[in-house]
Amino acid sequence: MTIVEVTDLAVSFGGTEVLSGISFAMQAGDFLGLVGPNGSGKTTLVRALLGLESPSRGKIDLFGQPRERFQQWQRIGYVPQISGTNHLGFPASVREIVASGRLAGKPFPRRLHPEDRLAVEEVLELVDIKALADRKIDRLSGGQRQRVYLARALVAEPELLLLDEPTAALDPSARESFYELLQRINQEQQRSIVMVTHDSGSIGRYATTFLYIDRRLVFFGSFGEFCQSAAMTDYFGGHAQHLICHRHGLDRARQ
Amino acid sequence: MSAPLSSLIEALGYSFIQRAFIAGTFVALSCAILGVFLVLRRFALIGEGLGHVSFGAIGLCLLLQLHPVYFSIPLVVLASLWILYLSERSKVQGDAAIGLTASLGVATGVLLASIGGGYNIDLFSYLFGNILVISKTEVLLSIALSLAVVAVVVLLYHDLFVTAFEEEYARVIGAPTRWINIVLVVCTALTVVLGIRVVGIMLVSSLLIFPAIASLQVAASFRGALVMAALFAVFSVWTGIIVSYLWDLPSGATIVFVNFGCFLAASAVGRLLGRR
Repeated sequence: MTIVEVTDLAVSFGGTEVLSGISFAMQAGDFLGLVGPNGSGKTTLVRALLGLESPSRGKIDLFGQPRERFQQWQRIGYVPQISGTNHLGFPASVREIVASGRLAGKPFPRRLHPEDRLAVEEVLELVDIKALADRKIDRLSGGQRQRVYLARALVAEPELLLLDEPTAALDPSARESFYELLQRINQEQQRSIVMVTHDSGSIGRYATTFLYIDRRLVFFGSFGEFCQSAAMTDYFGGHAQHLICHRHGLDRARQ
Repeated sequence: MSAPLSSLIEALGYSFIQRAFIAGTFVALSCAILGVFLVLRRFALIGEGLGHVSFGAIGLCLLLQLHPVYFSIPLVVLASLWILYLSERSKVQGDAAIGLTASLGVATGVLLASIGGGYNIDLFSYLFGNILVISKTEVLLSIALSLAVVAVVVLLYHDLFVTAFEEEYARVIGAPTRWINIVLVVCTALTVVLGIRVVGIMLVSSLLIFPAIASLQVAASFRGALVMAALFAVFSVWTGIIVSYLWDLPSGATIVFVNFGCFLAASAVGRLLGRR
């Protein structure tokens, strides 16, 4: 089933096109790595998918509906970019923040019910932050906070997760364990994932599909296709493609 | 029985003291609860700005011989929407929008005072407030509006929380953030007008800011912050009324100093608990 379909998308800021000619489709169960250099429009693309930016051209369909008419936001979980200063001094406990994810799709006046509380406890367990449930958000490390935001996105049981550079502030070991958690969520719970990342070296180990943009579409396809593409070898150079595709690992394995 | 205690018991028998306690409690509660949202949204100074606007509004009401509190309410509500409009829709930053509206409010008051001549003393009596002269109808209005503000906060609690924490995320999950912001500033405008009677135009933002920042020093959860802000606010107003009556001090300024004492105590406790 096609869950996201983007056709010839363009987004402009103040008359300058920051994204143009973006077309791709995502199937249920895909783990899409959205990669590109700084300023390439990755975050803008995610924000356009979420309705936070309006396209200047093109079309976005979410779960078969034009985005302008799409209202079932509980089907999409969003993990925004975090920084070290986010929410400094905000008096919210981890449990309160995760619970706010259950508000998606609820009618006015939004209330949390016992089944919502139960879902919160389950997701705290899944993401392995149960012990932090009563801690204040600004007392947590970057890796712990990232798990809190992932739990908040997951608690509404979305079919699609959008993560904007979730590993940018993490050390290598926290990053690996976060990737593994995402892979488990993708494979065991069949949730589709779009992950924005700079980390082109690691994403290939986890993502099934690869979308490389640099204000326009550079590549969209499976990871295998990317690695075998002569056009991409020309674009990136053999060494960069070699690193992204982990051929060095394969080379070692063959020896 | 000690002299202050016996005069306090005697004071509690006076209807003007009873009115001060009732109105002060309700206004303190609504200010404290809204204050937590405003401080966390970096909107804390909106109280100060709307206080200044009410100086102009009260000036206008006195000139036209209208009731200064009742008729200021719609004017201050309009000013709150104007500040929100300027900061959201135009290229004026939020703090600049507040400063601009505040100075226009004060300028209006000063101009009208000059034109009106005779009522200057009335107008300037609102600068520092006096809860001990609050009328029975004003008490009823304080109760009604404070209850309305608290009811709105209870009804929209989750939307207000998620918008205060991360407005963009709130939009993604379908919270009507634009309406939430409108409701927040309109409720603030209502409480500011009520707060003027308690501490006066010059000090009204203290009712919004002090209990909120004191609670943020010690609270470990959002609900905890709201409850603690309400407790600090009510304690400060009650203690302020008692102290100002017993020692014949200005009630508004006394309430502000008790609030400041609460903030210092909460900061010390927060440090001890490692919450800061």
